[in-house]
Amino acid sequence: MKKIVCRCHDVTESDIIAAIDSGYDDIESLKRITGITTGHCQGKTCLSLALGILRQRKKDSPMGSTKIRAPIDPITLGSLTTGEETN
Amino acid sequence: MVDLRIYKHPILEFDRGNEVTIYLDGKPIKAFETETVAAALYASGLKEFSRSIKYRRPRGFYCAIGRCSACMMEVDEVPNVRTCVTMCKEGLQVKTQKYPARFLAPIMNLMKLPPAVYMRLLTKPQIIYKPAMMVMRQLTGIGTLQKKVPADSIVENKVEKISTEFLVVGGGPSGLQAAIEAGKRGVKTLLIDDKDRLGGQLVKQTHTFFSDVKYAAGKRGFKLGEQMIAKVNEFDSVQTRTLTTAVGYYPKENIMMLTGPNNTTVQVQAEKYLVSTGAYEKTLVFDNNDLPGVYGAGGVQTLLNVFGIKPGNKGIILGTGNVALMVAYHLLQAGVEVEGVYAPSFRRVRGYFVHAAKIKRHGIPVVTRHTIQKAIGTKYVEGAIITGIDRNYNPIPGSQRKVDCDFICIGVGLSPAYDLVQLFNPKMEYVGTLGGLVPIRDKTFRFSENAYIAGDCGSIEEATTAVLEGGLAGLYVTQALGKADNTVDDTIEEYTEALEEDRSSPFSTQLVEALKSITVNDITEVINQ
Repeated sequence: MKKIVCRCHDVTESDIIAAIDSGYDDIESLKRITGITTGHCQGKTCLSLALGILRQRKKDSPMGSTKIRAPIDPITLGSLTTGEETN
Repeated sequence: MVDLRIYKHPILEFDRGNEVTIYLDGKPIKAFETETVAAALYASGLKEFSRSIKYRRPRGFYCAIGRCSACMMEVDEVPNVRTCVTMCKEGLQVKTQKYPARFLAPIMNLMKLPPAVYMRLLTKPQIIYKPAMMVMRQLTGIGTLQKKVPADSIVENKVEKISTEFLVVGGGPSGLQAAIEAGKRGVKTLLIDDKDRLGGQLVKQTHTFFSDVKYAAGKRGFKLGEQMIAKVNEFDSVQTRTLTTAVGYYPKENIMMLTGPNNTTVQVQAEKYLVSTGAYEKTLVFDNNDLPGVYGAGGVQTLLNVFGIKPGNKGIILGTGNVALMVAYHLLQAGVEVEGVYAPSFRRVRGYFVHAAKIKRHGIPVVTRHTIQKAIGTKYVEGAIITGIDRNYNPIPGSQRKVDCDFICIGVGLSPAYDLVQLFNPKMEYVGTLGGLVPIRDKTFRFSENAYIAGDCGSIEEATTAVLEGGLAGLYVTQALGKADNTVDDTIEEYTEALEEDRSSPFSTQLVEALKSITVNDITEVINQ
């Protein structure tokens, strides 16, 4: 029986809680240690769930998203390689 | 053969187009050209689409709009294709991606590997990298690349470059209305949407809207959408593109990058941008919450009202807002049994009383102070454990009971789409009343140097306010571009009044306060900080 928070990387609620309890208690650190918000969906499901858990364990943790970078949606390698080089 | 399609619906008529045949692991499946691959497979009774990367858990149809990763399969020899955004065509070959035996799952469980291991393990020395990669691909079940690149998949090394005055990202109610108001006044507008059709979530609403009569009420949602799309197409100044996704924005160069159909790349340079990308669905954490048969409310609405496919025979709904209540009504319309609506809230449901009364009249119980504890089943949902909750949202021992159902629909609310907005470097604020992370904006909905916001991605409200906000944003952009005609001021006033009236009910007091707190007079001060 598992409570899945991140579907892309199979991260469970207990994984997140364990990470928070061992000191990774902000969203950027959580992202780096568990891999949440780095899957195919880029955090569209797991970010708000993880923030909720973080708030429950640590009342004063700031609410915010992880750093957003392009591309925000999966694209093919082909479309990345198109275009001319610029400096 | 199983066919879950609805052929008789009291409100909707499904124009499915031509019938085609697609193949799942070589087995022919009936499909229609207007359906996505995932919809056609679901209609044929397939529940498990893929297995999860680490624990090999079965995954099925979930979000239906290309947001999750649950429906990835191999399509025409390309692995990891999101089948819910891939359209059916004659002879399409779909394959489930091979995964190792299920006995590996408990071993993986014991190993407690962080996800990064899958990507970085054994990259050095190079000699072992290739065989190690093969093993890893097998273990994770992420498919194998085709040996030869098919000729038609080679993308021409060419980028389409467009410059326009106004780029609207998101063709929902707010985006459409913005394009209408700007296009009417001759602003060169490009409207893009990542779906195969415009209208956003309006296309899924089969109930009648009330509130403001002039703009939306008295019509069923999808009818309103059809009207708006027809209007947008009237103006020569407005161009629309569907199946086109905004994937990045680069402020220094002022370039928005889009990917279009067949992996084409488009660079757009616009003077003004409108972000009307809507919202993402919130979900709940409970045991087995990823089991096939657990859906978001949006997924259920897509299946039911876009493709005309029943999600199952009997379901339960979790949630307390209008979305949850309306999905129950939509399911009733389609002839699907609803066991009950369970609302994790106290006293009363948060949705409109009218909606709650409507479904109660049809004999669907709306049970407050309850939530779901567990989904039962090994391969797909066979039931659920419902529990009562106390004031702190903790389950009350002994209040658990088992409910028979074959799908669970979660409609616990929305959070604003937070990603594209942030590429414009705005100042973001977390406001619970508005649904989540939203940018600070000024009275003209401007939140950065050249970008505006409207609709659910700025604050979670409903379709009428989205239409009004979109219209206003369109007008303000027209003004900023110096294209205002003598009707602009009057129309702005009209919209503003309607918006105020819409938010004047006592239920909206908190919302109005929250909106006030993130609206500033001079946005340049905020973004230059």
